[in-house]
Amino acid sequence: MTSQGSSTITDYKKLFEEAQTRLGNLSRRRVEDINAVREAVSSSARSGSWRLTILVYAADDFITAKHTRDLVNNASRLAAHGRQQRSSPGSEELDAWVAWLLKGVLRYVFMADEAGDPKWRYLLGSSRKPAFASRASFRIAARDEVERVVEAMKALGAEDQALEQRVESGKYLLVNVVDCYLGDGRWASDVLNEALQKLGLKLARKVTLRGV
Amino acid sequence: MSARLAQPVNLEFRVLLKSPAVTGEDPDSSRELLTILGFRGENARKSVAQHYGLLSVQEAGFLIRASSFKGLLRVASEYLVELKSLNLGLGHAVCSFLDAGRIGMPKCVLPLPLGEGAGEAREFLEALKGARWVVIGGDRVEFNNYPCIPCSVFGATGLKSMVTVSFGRGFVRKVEPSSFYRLFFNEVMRGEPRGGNVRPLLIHALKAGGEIALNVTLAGGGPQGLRSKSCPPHTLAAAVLWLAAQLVNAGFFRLGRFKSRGLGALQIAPTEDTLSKLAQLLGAENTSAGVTAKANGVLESELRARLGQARSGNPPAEPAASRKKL
Repeated sequence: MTSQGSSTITDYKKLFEEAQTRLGNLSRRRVEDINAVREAVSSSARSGSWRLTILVYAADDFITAKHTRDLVNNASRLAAHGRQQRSSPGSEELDAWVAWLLKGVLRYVFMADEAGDPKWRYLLGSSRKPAFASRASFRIAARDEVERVVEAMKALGAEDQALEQRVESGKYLLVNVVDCYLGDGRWASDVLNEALQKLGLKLARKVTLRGV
Repeated sequence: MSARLAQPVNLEFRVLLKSPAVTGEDPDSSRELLTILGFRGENARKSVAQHYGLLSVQEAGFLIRASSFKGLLRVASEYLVELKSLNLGLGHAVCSFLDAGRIGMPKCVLPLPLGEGAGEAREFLEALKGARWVVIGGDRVEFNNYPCIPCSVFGATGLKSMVTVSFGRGFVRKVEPSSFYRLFFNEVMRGEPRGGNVRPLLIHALKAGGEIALNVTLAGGGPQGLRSKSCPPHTLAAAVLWLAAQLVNAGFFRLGRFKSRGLGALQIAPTEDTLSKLAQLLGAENTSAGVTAKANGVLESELRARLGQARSGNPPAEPAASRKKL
C-alpha cells in the first residue's frame, strides 16, 4: 500500500479509498479465492498444522486516537438512527464499538495491501460463504481479564511467549486466533499481527496452545 | 468402577456474559414459537423452559436454548482433544478432523457399518482403519478410538449423550435485553447512511454482565470400555467438560452471532459444591488449578490408552514443510 509505508495508518478515509480502487479486480477473484482458502483450511485440519493463539495488544493509544474516535462517533451516530445530537458513548460502549469496528478496518488494510493474496480471508471469514466463519475474534479487555485468560490458557499447556519489550496499558485488545500454518515459516497469526501493527497496536503478549 | 460413579452427577455452573450476546429469538419470534409449541398464557415460558430446555429472559421474552451451551462445550472439546492428541504425537483423535467426508463435521455412528458400503461411509471406514482407530482382523473388530472422545461424551448417532444441559432455577444476576442496529462498514467510513429506503437491521442482544445458572448432568456412561479406556466414563466426561469450559473462558468459543466482532464472550465458573464434586470425580485438589491439572492428566492417559498402541504401528507424521500451503 503506497501511502502507508512502515508508518502507522491514521487516515482511514484514504485507506478506504485505496481499498475501493482495488476492489474491482478483487471482486472478480473473490469466490475463487474463498474456495482456495476453504480447501487450505481443510488441509490444515487434516495435516494437523493448526494451533490456538492469543495475541494481546496495548490498546490505550488506539482507543483514544482521533481517527478511532471519529470512526466510533460515526458509528454511534448512525446507530442512533441519524440523530445528530447524541451524548458521547461511555467507556464500555466505546470499547465495544472499537472491537466491532476493528475487523472492518482490518478488512480494508488487507484489501489495500494484499489485494491479490487470499490469506487474510482465512482470518476474517466471508459473508459470501456463510459457513466460512472468521478465525479471529476481537475484544477489548482490562488487565485483570487479560491475566485471567492467559492463566486459563497456560493451565491448558499453552506457552506464554516472552517478548522483547513489555508494553503496559490500561486496556488491551485480545485477539483469539484459530491459527493455521501458511508456509514459509509463517502462521496466520503472523499475518494478522503485521496488519494490527500497521494500525499502531503494540503486541504485549502472545500465548500459543500448540499441536505439533 | 464403583456403583456411586454410575449414578448421575449434577454439576452447577454460573455463566457470566462478558460481552453482549446475540442469541435466541426476538420477542415476536419467541411468542410465535411458544404458540407453535402449544403453550399459551402467563406460565407458557416457564413450561417451555421445563419441557424443552429453553430459557426465557424476562421483559424481552427472549428464548435461549440450553442446547446452545451444550454445542459450545462440544465444539470446544473437539478442538481441545484434537490439539492435545497432536501435541502428544498421537495423530488425529477426533472424527470431525479425520480426512473423510466433510472436515469439521462429527462422523462417529453406532453401530459402525462394516459391510460393503459406498461413498462417504466407505471412505470413513477406510480412514478409521488407516488411522488404526478400528482394527479389523478376521471376525474380530477392535475399537481403539471409536467412538472418539467428544462423541463418547457428547453423543453420536446411535449413542446417547452423557451430558444433559439445562438452565438453573433463575438468574444469578439479571440478564437484560438490548437492541442495536447493524451498520454497514462503508456507511461508517463515509459517516452517512446509504441512500434509498434501506434501513439498518435491528438486532436483539443480551447485555453484558448478566449471569445464567447452568446445570450439567453427567449420566448414562455405562461400564468402562466403549466410552472410555483408562478411567470410568464419568471421570473422562468431567475432565473433558472442565477443559472445554476453560477454552470457552479463554474466548475461543463464544455464544451467538458476531463472535468475531467481540460479542458472545462467556466465563463459565463452577459453584463451590460443583468444584468439590469435580475434584472428587477426578481425584484432584479442590481448587480450579488442581482440577485443571488433573483433568489434563486424565485426558492424556485416555488418549494414550486409545491411540498410543495404534500410533506405534503407524508411519511418522507428515513433516510441516510438505504440508499444503495457502
